[in-house]
Amino acid sequence: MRLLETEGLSVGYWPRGRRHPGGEARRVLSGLDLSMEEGRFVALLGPNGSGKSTLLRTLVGMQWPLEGRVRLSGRDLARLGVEERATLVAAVLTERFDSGWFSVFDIVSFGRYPHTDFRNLLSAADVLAVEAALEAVGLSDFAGRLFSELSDGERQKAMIARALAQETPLLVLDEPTAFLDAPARIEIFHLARRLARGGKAVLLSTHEVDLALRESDSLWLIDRGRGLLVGSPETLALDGSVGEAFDRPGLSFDPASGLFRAPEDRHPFALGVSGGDPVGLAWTIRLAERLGLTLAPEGGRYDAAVRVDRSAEGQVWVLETAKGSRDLSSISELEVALLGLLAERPTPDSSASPPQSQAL
Amino acid sequence: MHPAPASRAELPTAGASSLPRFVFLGLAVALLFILDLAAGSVRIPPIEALSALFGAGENETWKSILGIFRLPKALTALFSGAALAVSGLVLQTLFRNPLAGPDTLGIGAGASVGAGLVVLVAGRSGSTFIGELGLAGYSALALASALGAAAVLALILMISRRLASNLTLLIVGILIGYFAGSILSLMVFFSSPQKVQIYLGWTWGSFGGVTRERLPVLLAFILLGLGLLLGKTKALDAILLGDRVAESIGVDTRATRRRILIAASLLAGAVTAFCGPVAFLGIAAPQGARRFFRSSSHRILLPASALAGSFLALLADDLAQVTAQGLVLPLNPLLALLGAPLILGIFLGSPRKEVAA
Repeated sequence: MRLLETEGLSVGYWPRGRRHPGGEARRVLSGLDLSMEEGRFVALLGPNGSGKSTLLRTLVGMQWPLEGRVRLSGRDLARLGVEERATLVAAVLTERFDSGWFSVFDIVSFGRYPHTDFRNLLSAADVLAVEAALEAVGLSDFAGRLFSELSDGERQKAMIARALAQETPLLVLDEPTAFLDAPARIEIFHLARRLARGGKAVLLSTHEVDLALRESDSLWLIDRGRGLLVGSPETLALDGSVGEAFDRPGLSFDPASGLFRAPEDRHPFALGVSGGDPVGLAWTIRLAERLGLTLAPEGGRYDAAVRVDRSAEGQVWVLETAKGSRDLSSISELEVALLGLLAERPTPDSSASPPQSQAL
Repeated sequence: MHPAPASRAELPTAGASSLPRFVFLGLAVALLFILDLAAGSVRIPPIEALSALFGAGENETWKSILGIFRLPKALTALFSGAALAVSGLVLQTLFRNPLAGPDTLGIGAGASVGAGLVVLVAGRSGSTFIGELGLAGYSALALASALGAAAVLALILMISRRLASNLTLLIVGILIGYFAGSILSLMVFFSSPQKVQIYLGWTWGSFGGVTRERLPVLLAFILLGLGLLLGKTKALDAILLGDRVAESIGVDTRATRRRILIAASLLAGAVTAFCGPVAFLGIAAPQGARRFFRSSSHRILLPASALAGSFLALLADDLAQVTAQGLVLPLNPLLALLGAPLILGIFLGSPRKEVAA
């Protein structure tokens, strides 16, 4: 079933509010025909200011579309009352607030608002729904804590739990990973994916390109030039769309690793890297890149070579230079040795050499 | 608040634990109410006052003093305090700012302008004594005052959509207060000395000016204002979490905001019309209630603030009678004496999150 559907939707702003139909509207995105089915996790990606939040606000009915139509579970959003809308879509938007004396349980139970009458007394079923929502985000033990005592990551999870307690088929999260540390960001993405597997449709906007590529079922990618592109993460990475949307001078998307890299001047010192230990190898390559060394192509010319192996005592790095070969027992010893080798050679005149983009 | 699962017992906001506090505060208010009946230029022993109240006493003088002066005054203090406190509470919620209140937002000043128009400008000279206004005149005064309050609130709400910062909003409120104050000054300047004297007396603030005949008018306004907020406690809670969250869970924020505006104007406007611009109570009482009940839920805070407001109003009125020995001290200086240290104490004595709405 289509939980979200748009028809020729244009989002943006009227100049000085809606009462000036003569004015030129500022169109942020237009001609959108989007749809989301149950069980799907869609990540909305786009550079800052590309209209992610504007789109999300329009989709959940907190902003009027400039043109076109939004349907939630087949029903016209424009004709839904606030309370009815709240049973079809739950949104967690970026807004800081002061939670005063509210406990985590209190905050999550706000999600039951559309399901309770004017007295807003929680029934046993409501309490169960709140507890299930807390459980889903892993905050069951936090129910009695003051919301204001939570960390940013826990707060975000509690707000998602609040949206879950609303028991809507569609969940919209606007940049839920902002201000979170790396593990918390990953947790939020895993949670979003788990919720989608549980049957919800989850739409999440984010700046985390690598996580979005890894975790989402589908990408909505906003490219300033081409508008909103829809596709699987792999499709959009391979056809260069992700790169095109985000690339800027000094930074480019590397489809091979799914990461952004800054092309920089490399030291002409060529290091050959090989080894039988894949993890050790990966980090040795990262060390070489961090030191600004050129990675020698396989079978090509090199100034020094390092081989990572796993021995009985652990990892071992065999560094081979013109002077002979040395066994090093840690990667920091390797770093010292490489820095020593670099110091023996004249520094390249970085202004003269053209920037090289280096393949792995 | 809700049927408690096992783990809810130790929740800091659990509703059950607030019952003893309600009982305590209720008893304190009752005590101050009786004291308010007893205190004054003619002292009536509290027990006698209480029995006279139920028609049991023998002293006819005391009975008439109580019936004509003390009881209306005490009831006025009781209800006005509650009204101002609730007005302050919902304004603090609306602006998500613990410093919002009928007086800081210039709403008291707006009400004063409304009342001033009736007293200083509209009234025929000689008959404009507040004491001589008929019931219709008094209703007009209350209505003008409420309209003045509503005009200022509407203006502030309009500006608040363009200003992100709540702090800026308070500054705007203060500016509007100055503006209203200067309009009042001009009205005073062009008015007759007689009217000005009446007007100045009114600005001191007093619960004593409301006679038995007028009390129902005041009560009607207050009950109307309170009634508008009945059943809206959860929407008020949701407004605290921000408009986006509120809308996401299905609260009609515009309607709620409008309702708060009308209720706060009615409450603050009516009290200001009848008792003068009463300062501090509107901010201090909800702050005290929040701190004492350790809650942010309006299901608790609405009645708690009302009680705290009655408590402060009666306390101030008691002090006004007791300290002056025959003279009646004006209310506003006393309330500032009580309220300012209270607010300061709350801010200094607790982390920010506890103070905030």
